Amino acid sequence: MNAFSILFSDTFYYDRIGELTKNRNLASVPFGGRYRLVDFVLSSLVKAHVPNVGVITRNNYSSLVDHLGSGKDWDLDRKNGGLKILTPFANNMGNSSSKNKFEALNSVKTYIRHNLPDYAILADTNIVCNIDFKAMVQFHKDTNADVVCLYKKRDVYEGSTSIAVNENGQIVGSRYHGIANGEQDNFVLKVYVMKKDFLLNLIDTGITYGWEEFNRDFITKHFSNYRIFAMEQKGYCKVLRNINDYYQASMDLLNPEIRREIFQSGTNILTKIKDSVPTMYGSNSKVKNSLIADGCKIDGTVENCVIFRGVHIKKGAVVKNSIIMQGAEISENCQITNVIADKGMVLNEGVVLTGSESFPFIIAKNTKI
Amino acid sequence: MIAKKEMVAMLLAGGAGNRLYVLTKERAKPAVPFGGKYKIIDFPISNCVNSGVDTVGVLTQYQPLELNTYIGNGQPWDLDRMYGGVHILPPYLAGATGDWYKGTANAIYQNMHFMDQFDPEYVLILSGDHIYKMDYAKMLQFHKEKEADLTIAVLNVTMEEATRFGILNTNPDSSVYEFEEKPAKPKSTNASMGIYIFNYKKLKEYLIKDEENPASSNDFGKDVIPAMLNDNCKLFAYPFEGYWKDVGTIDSLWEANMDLLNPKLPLNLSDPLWRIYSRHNATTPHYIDEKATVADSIISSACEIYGNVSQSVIFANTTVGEGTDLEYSVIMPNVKIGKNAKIQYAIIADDAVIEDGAIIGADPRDCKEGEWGIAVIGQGAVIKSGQVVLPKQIV
Repeated sequence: MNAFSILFSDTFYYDRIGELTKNRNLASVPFGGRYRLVDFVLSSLVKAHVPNVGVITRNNYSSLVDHLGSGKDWDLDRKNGGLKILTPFANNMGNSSSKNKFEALNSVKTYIRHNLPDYAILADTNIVCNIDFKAMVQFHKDTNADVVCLYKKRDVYEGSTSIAVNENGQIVGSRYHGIANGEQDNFVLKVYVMKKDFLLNLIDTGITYGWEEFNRDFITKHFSNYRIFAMEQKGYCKVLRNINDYYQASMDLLNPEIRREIFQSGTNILTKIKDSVPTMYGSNSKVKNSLIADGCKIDGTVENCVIFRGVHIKKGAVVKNSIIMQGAEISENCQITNVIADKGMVLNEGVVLTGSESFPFIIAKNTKI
Repeated sequence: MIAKKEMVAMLLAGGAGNRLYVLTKERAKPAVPFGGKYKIIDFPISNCVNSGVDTVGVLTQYQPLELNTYIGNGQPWDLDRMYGGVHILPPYLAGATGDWYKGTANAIYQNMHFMDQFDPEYVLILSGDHIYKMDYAKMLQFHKEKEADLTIAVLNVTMEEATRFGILNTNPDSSVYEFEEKPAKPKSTNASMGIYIFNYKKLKEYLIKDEENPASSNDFGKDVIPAMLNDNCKLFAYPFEGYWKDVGTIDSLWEANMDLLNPKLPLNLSDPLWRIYSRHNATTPHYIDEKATVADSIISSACEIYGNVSQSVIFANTTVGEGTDLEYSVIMPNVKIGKNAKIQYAIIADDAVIEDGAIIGADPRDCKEGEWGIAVIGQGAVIKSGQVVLPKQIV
């Protein structure tokens, strides 16, 4: 496709997933048993044959670099273009790293300018859904738009700005919601398509006026000065802004319909490939309604869980409503309920950890209890 | 210019594998899936890589397409190298000569040019139908210490099993004085594992001699090794200890898969220092439903389990429907199993469809003597709703 993409590994906003984003950015938060959040939007780009993808990083990006590597596992290890990780660098404008999306884009203008395709796709990486980028670019052509974005009908939450879209798909209004009133409205998903030249001009305009955020400072304020169109993103789509979103989206994967929609609707969700053995179940294993990755050894009880690779759950241990990341060891007779455990947790015999459904207990990476 | 390699591995992967029946109808034996996510050939290739052998020729002949696609450029095994790496070696025409591979020795003979490119001191000959982990570097060390012309890896088998193998009778220093193919009355229990290290110069000499002999069947076991023994070449037997299984028959393939379910098995697939590499796809984790029960089993990625599974090995992307009982079985990738089916002691090959209520195989305790065996469903076969597949039956 005649487009390149720039992904933001952080939203440059207050979106944090608790301990999970302490040492990594949003893009590399582990999700769904074997994936990282970036895999979803990246796989949609690969499916649309977007040949060049630049990933803007700010800090804490070593885990992302480790995950993406050369881009080989997404078929983006190419002679021309392919995957490029755009790390922050000090330049003659000063040596602090970018504080917002416009500064970040301004720092990678050379990358944008040197890209040959005509269309630019900008996207956040904390969105779990399949996006049809081909349709977005086509919509951009059909409507002769300046910018095409996606929107989603969802619950209003405090401090968000919804948009109004006319019958042609053009954005014609916006409204700030000071309180969550239990209603639904249309909200922009932070995925945008525009011409490369338009983007370059927009970066200059944004830097001039001190814009920080695409949606807040440009789309919802300047829709009357530009032709900004929006396409509805139908089907399952979840933006992960905090720990509750993360927990909810993880549990959503246990629903066969949602799983089918994300993983089997034609977009192959690609991720870093590791050589792990298949999962082994012992004589005492009792597993219900759970998603379990390769390389686990399970001899305990597991209910309503997402279990990542290489987790050992020993005899007599009971794990419920939890998300257990890579390499955890849960010893005999532990009881784990409503827990999100980051990688490498080690629990000695008989440990009891209990969170609540609305407030899951988060265990930091490599915690030993 | 090509860098010289100390040892080049030649993997014989062209056999038809007739004793696996439908499982090898459309693929060579080394391409048969094994252990939930591997193919048989992953074992010898991973052993090569882990032993520091980075140049591997894979000799193909029978139904090579699946194998060729699988090996590709060798990247999953880290064998996409600038010099060396993995090479697929099919038989080829060369002017008026050129022929199919007539036997194991002839296959290597026809690829002497390939080996010459790397100017090796030693050549390691492997076959593609064994499940084991072995450090060929140690075997090479042994070969060098003994200053051997040929070293053959041997396994200590029982007297009874010895009648089905090539048996090497050795002196106390491990040198071989006699080789007997499938002896009725074995003198010893050193069974040849079909793993050879040759001094390349000697190998070349004997391959050329063997080729000139019109009476030869061009086989290592039948012709080349006896000829070398006859000429008093220095042959040594290298004793191997550990798990080794020939998976050339339905029963042994099933047994080897079942062996993996034994936690005490001396074949540790998750050893980080000796990984068995294989070609992976980015598939989702597997899902175990509310109504399912799973015990004593191996389950691979992207499976959806709604039924009851025990004592089974299930490969990727397989669905087991609600109410279905599955035990003591091997289910290869992409199999769709419907609801309320009963599957016992069976091997079901890739892409098969088992409709609701089908009954496949049986428990040996429920069968008369001589009637029991592993039921086998071939690639892409469809077992209709309510159909019964008897033990030992091959569909």
